[in-house]
Amino acid sequence: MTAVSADFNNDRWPDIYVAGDSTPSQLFMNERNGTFAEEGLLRGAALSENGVEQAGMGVALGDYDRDGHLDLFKTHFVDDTNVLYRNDGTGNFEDVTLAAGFGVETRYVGWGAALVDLDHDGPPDILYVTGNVYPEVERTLPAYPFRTPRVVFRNLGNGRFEELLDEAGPGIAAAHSSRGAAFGDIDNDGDVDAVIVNLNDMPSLLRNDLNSPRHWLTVKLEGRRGPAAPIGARVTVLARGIREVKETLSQSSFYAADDQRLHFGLGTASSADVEVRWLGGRMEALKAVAADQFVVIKEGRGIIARFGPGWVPKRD
Amino acid sequence: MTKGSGHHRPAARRGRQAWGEGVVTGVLWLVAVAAVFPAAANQSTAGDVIPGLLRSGDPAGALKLIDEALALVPRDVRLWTLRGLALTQLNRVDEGLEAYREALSLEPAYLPALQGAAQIEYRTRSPEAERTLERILAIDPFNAVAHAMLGTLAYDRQDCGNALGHFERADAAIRGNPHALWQVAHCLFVESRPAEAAERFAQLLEAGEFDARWADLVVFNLALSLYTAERHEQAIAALEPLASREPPERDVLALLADAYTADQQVEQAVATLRRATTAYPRDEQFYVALAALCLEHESFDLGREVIEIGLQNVPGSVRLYALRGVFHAQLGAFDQAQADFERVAQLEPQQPAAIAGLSLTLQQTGQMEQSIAILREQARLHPNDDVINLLFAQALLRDGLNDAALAEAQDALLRAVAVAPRRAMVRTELGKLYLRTDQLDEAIAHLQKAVELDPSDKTPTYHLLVALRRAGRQAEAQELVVRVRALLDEEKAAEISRNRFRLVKAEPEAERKQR
Repeated sequence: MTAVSADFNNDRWPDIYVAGDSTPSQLFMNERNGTFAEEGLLRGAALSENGVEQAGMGVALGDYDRDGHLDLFKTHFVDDTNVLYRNDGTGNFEDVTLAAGFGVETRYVGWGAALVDLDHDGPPDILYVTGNVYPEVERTLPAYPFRTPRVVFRNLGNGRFEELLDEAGPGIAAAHSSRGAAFGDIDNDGDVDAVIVNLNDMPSLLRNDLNSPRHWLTVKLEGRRGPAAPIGARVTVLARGIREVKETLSQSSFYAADDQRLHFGLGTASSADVEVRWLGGRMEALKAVAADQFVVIKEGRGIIARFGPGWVPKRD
Repeated sequence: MTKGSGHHRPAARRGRQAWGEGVVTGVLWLVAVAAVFPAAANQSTAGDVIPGLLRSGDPAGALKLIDEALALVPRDVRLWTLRGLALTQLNRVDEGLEAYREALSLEPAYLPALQGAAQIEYRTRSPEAERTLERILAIDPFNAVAHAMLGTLAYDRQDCGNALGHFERADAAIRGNPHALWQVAHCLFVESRPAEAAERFAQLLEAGEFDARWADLVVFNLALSLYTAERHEQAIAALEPLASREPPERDVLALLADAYTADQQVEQAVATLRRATTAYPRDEQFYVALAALCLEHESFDLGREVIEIGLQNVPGSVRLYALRGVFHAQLGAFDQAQADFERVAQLEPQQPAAIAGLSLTLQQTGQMEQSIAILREQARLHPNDDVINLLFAQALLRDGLNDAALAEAQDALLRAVAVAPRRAMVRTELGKLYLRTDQLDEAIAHLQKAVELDPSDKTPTYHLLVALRRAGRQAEAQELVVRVRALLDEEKAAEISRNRFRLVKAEPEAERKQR
């Protein structure tokens, strides 16, 4: 149902992950010769922990354990757990769903999802939207309502997540039959918000109004050829000895493209080292970039612009 | 009720009591006189007369002459043997046996006396029979009658492996003997050779040397053998005439329903089971079977109704309550499911299905802590219950793990493996746990064992693939990729086949007309 492209084995070549709906999910590894080899089963990213095909819907990409490698989170149908695959850095994945604490939530059909730090404590959290497929089901099976709430799992920073049932606010608790969800800082206040498409309903805009002393940094990349974000370029942020990686993606979640500015929660760190891997592999390192700002980094030129929270883009 | 559920009675148990005695007389040495007489004739003046008397049915006269002769030649082994024969004909078998034994004390390897003694010992099921028969085989290893008798004795003590070994060397003695054929067929069935069993039952049927009641029994056993040999259509053809009788026999309906199910004739299976619930309304087995079909075809509403009717007729049935709990859970009525499972747990605290149902329902409704607490207590009460230990470990693993919970899960699984070392699922779960804790050698060992125990289960195969890959054994992992793909394809095909049918309630005539 969703395909994402990113470099999973850190060889600087983009690979492709496809979430299969009731078929094994596929991981196409870039053979660097114009072809791809499907290795989902061999690399442990095709099936559930029990070796079962799952109804793959949305996919979130992020570095949940901040080890410098891109991990995968995939949403599924009701009565099944969503899955979190930990990447060991070579493009081989370990299913850590249960160990991470996702086994407790199987009530909803999951769709769009993101791995983003919602509270700026550092490690990326998980937000996904839900909603049943068949409106008529709830008439006979009340346990399977058509409209269901959004789900937030807070990353505890130790490999485990905890579900926020009531604490995440009314926008999360509101029941809709949602599908697509795009994530980004729509009000430029430094935290990540979400735009959600709901079936036969108005879309939702969930504004995250974080009031926290914790820090953040948002990076916008510009390639040599212009201001468009170079898809596949990668940013690694090192703060207080912890390394987190993100990649500029063309799309992820579910039928959605996120804000292409890459957001990092820094916790108590007031600055971070930033390393950019541009397309083609050229590396660019920036030391001690101050937190709580948007920075624009142009390939070969370093930081070319900085903006504080509340920044309003100029109209042409 | 699926194939292999083992609820059908084994073929021969139904016939053992009636046929067992018949076999005793069916396999005997016919004439011991012939073997004794020529030699005796040269030894005694009575020798001209005794055989004639025995042949003409005058054993009393023969005995008188034998005793007179023995007074003159008391150590004549042949005369003692003839005495045994005469006494046996007079139905004085104990004295007959004594006479044979006297002969054997004089000449231990004297075959006619051994045969006479063995015959009586076999007929009276004396503990000495087997030893005597083995002595005969030591002298005459191809003695078909001795093998036949030893086969029957082994059959009597339900040692079918041994029985078949002897029957195979007793062909000449048992050919045309329906009693022995019955035993051979039964033993073939017991020894998991159903196709050969079916062949023998079919031969038995062709021989037709029995009354109608026994003919029905043979047909039933033939059908059961065919069903077990997965020749479902032939099993159905054999059973349908039996099932058409009124009232239908319970076992016949049960087997026919299973055969229809196995042959994908869902409609006929349902009809047969409905008929069975009408004919035997107090038999929970048929409600369970009907509900199982509903479950398989995801017709949960109908399944719940079937169970409701069952509970009206078999109130207090633990199995029916447990099944209703399953249907409630499938229909999302978790409170009612929980109530049913709690009732089952109350009625039968040892019933692992209830604990399983209850704990899974609690997990489904987000009450993981409560589920774990129940399972922890059950594991404490039943430390040697592999199912409880497995469920407990699975719940801990599902909850996510800290080190203490990991150790607790590992302990539970090790207990389960110790109790049920051949249960693939337990091995799989332990292998997964070791995989999680990076103990790759242990993980691979348990997962390989699980795959060996159940090659059709893709879960251990998939985890073994992952473990081998992580251990750097890429070539082996690559081989398993092919295997997992094949298993997934097989599962998909099975699912498509299952989903060909949905069971629905018939629309009442009045409603149909109104519509």
